Amino acid sequence: MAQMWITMGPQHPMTHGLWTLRVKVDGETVVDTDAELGYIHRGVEKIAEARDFTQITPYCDRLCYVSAMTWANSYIYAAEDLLEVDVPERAEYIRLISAECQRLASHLMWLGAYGPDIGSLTLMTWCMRDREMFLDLLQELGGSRMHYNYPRVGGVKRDIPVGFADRLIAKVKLFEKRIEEYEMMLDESTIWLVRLQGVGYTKAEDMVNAGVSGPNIRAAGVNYDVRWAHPYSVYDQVDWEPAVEKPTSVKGADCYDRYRVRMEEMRQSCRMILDAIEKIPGGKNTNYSSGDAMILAKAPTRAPEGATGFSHYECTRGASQFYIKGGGDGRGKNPYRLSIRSPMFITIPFVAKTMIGYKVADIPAIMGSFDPCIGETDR
Amino acid sequence: MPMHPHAQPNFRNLFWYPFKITLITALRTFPFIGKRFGKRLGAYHNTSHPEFLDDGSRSRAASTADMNDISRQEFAPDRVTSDLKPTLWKPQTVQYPYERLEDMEPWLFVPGNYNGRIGVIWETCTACKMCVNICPNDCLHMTTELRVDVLDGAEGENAGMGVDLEVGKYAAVEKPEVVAELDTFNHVTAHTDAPQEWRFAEVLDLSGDTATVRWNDSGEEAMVDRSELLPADDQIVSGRIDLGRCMFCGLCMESCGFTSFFMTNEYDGMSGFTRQDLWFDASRTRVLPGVHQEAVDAELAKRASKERDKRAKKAAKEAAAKGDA
Amino acid sequence: MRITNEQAETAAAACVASVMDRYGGADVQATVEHHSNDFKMPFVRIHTPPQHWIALAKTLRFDLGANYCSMVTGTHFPEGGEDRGWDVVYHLMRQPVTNQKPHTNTVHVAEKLSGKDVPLEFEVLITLPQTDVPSVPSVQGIWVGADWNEKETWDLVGIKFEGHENMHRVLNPHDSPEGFHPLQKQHKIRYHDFNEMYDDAQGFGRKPTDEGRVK
Repeated sequence: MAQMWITMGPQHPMTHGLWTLRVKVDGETVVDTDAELGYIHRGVEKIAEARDFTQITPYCDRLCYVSAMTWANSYIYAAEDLLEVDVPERAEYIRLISAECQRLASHLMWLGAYGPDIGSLTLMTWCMRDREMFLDLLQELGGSRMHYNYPRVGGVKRDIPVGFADRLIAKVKLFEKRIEEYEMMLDESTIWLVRLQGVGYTKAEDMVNAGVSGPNIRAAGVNYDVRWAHPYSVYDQVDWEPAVEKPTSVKGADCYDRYRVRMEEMRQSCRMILDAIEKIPGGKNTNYSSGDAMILAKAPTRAPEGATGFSHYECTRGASQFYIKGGGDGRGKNPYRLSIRSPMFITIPFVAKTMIGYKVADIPAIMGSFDPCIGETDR
Repeated sequence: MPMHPHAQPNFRNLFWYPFKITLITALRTFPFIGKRFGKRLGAYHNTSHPEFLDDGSRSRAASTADMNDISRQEFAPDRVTSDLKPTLWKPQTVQYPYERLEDMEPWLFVPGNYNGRIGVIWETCTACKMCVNICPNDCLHMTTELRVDVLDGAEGENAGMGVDLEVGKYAAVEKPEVVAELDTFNHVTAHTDAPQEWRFAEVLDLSGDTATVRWNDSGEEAMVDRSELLPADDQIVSGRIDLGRCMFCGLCMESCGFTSFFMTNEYDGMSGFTRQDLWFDASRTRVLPGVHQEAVDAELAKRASKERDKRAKKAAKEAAAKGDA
Repeated sequence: MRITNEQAETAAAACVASVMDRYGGADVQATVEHHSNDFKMPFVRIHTPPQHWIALAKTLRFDLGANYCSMVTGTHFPEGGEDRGWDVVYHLMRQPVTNQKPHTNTVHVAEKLSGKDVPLEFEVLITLPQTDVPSVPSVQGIWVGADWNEKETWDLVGIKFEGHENMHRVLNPHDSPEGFHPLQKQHKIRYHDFNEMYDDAQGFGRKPTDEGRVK
């Protein structure tokens, strides 16, 4: 039979975003792939050159819309590096809690999309239901369910509301039991195991060389995590461990390992949140007014020419990096250059290469296990 | 809908099928007919139409007929029902806009700080343009105009409560010929605006009884008697927010220093059929009356207390100067 | 648990010493800089002219262990003076990642890492003079992760990477005109003014009848 190129996308229910994956198939086996990105390139880097540092934060929420808080935090750390601002500790704790809530919501979104890819439609409804809990928490903090515009250069926009801590603890404790329900459903399901195990092997060193990071690489048995390797925020004061999975083969980590590592990450995030809310300076039931020194430090609004700032942050899908050069318009009020490094931009060609040699039915399994989000890929 | 290039118009497709389907659907809505004859009437579905089926399709459809065959849905043409009594199982759908989720399930609340619809208190807006400058998407458009504040020109018990002339700000002089005209100007029948009765100027220097001003219209400088000048300032004429561009980030609300700009926690009321419908002006950015009154009172109290502090400080300085002298 | 400042300082100093040892006389400057926020962690910043970049890249990758190419980006300075027309910046990381035997994992205790295992950030800056055709040798063969990053930098900024195979547009449409690199400073953003709020972005031909006086 002749080999042929099949186009999956750009509109396709299984590609988790707007990109084209062209696969060359020989019967059922994938022989070659080609990824095309850029369908939602919105020019955030160019827009940012005409905006103040505070005005850029809502754009960063929209980079990876599934995981908005982590991307806004990532940008804010770079802006604080540029403007040389020290953040009060309570604000750092709040940022940690909000980022970990967002990580939970994002992993649930991943699982809620991945389950139906494999065939388990129930999983979508379960995950969306649980994600609603965290979206409500983030709504209380940030004012909206998906794009919060919450962190500010020097702190956060407003303090945690009264009663937030109780709701947070109750929901996180409930969710810890729900993770067990998910595992009960999936780990005993033959379809799940057969479709995920033995599919999509990736080796750790290949991944590092290719620039893949985050849970994808921790699935291969290496506990490299930006939160301890290039530390930021108060992760060193909070009780947690990086979630690592042992690879099941000499060929590396398969999709099942990547799924397991994210389940374990959800557990670690719960642990971090419960610990941080108890340790937060100023108490978990106090509510400082917006702009109070406990949650927001006064920050300069201009960056001189020649100043640079960059941040390395563990976003949900990998390590993101923001690089800002000061000295733009408005005598330094705007960045001269804002450069965004998206983990998924590098991972997607790697995913495309990983698919070679497997069957067509493995394409959604492999693609989904890397958790693509095209918003951050195309910026 | 585009037609197949080889389609031939025929009575069956253009009249008979539509007629039959409509008739059956209408009949099915009557409970008596729907419950008793529903299965027999059915409607044309792929699962039962004789022309479309072969043995393979029919057997495949039969195996999932329990859940997929909507010809088995007997009663309601717009709801999927099961074999159990439909009266016991009502749909779980929250019938927005008649019901709201936060009313049915109050533990899911829209928090007070939700970034909802924009609400503006126009009375307390000072046209400082902070919101316009901070909006990342250029959603706000404001038109302003130099005006003499009513409080400045008041007489009687409210005299002297306005602002004073300041160097660098604007002032206005009455135009006597226009004032005379205004006596005979009828706002009702004239189809134009009233003539501008003030001539505006920028105050360059204040010393004693006279002030040096630069007229806005001619650019010349002149010395004018202070008693003829009234302070004037940029005031807002109209403002418009383009909700089609707005991304509800809330920066405008944060930047307003005058408690005039809010994001309410309402999430509806922002729809329209054209993009121009989404340009919200004063009439569509109202807040709830209670909130409105509270905000106006708070802002006026704030300004009054600031003014009182300023006057107290000035009096203290003068007393100290007099004490020194 | 975290990498302490001391560990990172030692590692950074060792890298800087090694680079300056080898390339110190050749216009390459390596220094240890610090972030200005949070823990003020150190990182290595290297300035190099383009002709030494490949050799330096190989040293970083194979001798110093920078195995992760994080970001490649470029900046256009039309008013930077004769010497500084373009900046190409590479962000590399050293990550302690090795292939694992099946059913084993490596649990790093951060404070116990030493030597080449300590994670480190590298920033390499290549400054190019004012020119219409900036170009830099490609490191596609050295880091796989540099591949698509270089495509994006060429696509958006216009920096040509010599020796890069299969260069193509990755974020802009495939049929973008030759020479259209939007992040160069001569391209301005449209629709950045409230006046264009009343403009017809998609050409439906509807204009408002009232345009108030604008201050």
